[in-house]
Amino acid sequence: MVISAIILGVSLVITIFDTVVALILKFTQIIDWFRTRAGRLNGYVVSAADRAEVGFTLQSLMADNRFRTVQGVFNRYTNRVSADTRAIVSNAIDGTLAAYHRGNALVIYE
Amino acid sequence: MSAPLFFDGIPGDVPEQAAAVARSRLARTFEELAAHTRAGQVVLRVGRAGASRPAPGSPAADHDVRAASDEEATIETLARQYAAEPPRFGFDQLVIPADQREALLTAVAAIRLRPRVYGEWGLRRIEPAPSVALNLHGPPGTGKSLAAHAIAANLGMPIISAGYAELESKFHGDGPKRVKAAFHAAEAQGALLFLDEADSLLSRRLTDVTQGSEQAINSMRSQIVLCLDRFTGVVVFATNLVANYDRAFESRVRHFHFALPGPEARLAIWRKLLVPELPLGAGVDLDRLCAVTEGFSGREVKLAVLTAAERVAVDGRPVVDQADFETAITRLRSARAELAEFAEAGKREGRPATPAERAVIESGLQAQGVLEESA
Repeated sequence: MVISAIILGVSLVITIFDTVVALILKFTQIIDWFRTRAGRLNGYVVSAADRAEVGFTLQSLMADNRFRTVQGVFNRYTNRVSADTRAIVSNAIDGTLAAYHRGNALVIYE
Repeated sequence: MSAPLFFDGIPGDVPEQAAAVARSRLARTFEELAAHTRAGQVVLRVGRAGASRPAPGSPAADHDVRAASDEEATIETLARQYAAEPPRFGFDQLVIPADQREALLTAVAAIRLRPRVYGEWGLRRIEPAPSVALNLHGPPGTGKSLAAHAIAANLGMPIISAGYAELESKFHGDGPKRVKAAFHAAEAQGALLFLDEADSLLSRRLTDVTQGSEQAINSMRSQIVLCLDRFTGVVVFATNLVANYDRAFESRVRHFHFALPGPEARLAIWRKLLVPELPLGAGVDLDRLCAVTEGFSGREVKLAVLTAAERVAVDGRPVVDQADFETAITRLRSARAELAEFAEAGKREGRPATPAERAVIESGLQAQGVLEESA
């Protein structure tokens, strides 16, 4: 996958196919993505009665010292990961996201 | 009557955390028993198995007496922090639906008639401590604090206000003392006790207490129950959202719901807040202001009025116009949206995945070809 972009702002995000490149990945961007999917998938932000679908982020450090964060929705009852996962490549991550991933590659949000 | 109970049954090799849980559960059980039987204060001492128990009159027992006396002194000292003040609002300033006003005024009238009901009619024999506890619950800014002041004013009582944050203490064991002190101060000063932000105090007590902080909050909740049973004054709680009230409060507290104002109430609030002295432009349209503040609480409408008036004063203009109010309303609405978003984001809590979750998710991602891209 070709990743080439001019990044102008600290929080500027450019989508290239299913991979997003960001200078700093912020926790709010993770949350916003979950929120936009909530209505369509009936997932992540679910009613109290139906908490089958939860969000997750899987984070790894790439060979060039950048972060690769895969974000998606997982259904605990069907054990299936939704098809529209996305990956975000960033030079840095903000403190909130860093705290969640400290010692945990895979974080579940519910 | 104060009856000492001794339990010398926790083996010495039981970890302190487990011993603390056992002590907490025993304390709660006997506090509830005391509350139900009205047996007065139960002094409960839970010791390690084989530990010697102080004999009556022994130095150790004297030490216990001194400790009790010290605690009373502490309560007295803490109670001085709670000074009664004259109520700042009356029922004429409270804009709520007519049926709600009627229910509150009826409750207040019943409080005033307690001497007849419990004195003349002798019902004190079956209810020696007829405390009156009201819980005003609803979203922020809907008039709960104002109503507490109005109730105090109607009863001709001063008011002592305390928030949950003031009662909670970082020092273990101080929280229940502060609760006790607040009730003590209200009793001593003949004041209505108003406990704001009491959600945490009235929530169901935790059953699986594993941490000191959980034990502390349970102790505060138990202390509230004990205080309510002994208190002969009036206490008003204000809560925003209690999903799960402790059963102990069901029979002890009367609940009143405060909803966001509807169009009629909002219009009445606008009329009340646009005081005659406020210089208004000719184009000020109350109906439109009422319409554009749909979903606002009374406090937010007040903020809109204050914000608009302050802006006009700073600009040196002579009157507040419709546009000033609408600008203030727009700003408040966007600030509220930001706050809601912040609160919503704060609710999402992350946790490490379990091994089973990890296996399923990684397998799903590999099937999608997403994991292969990792370094």
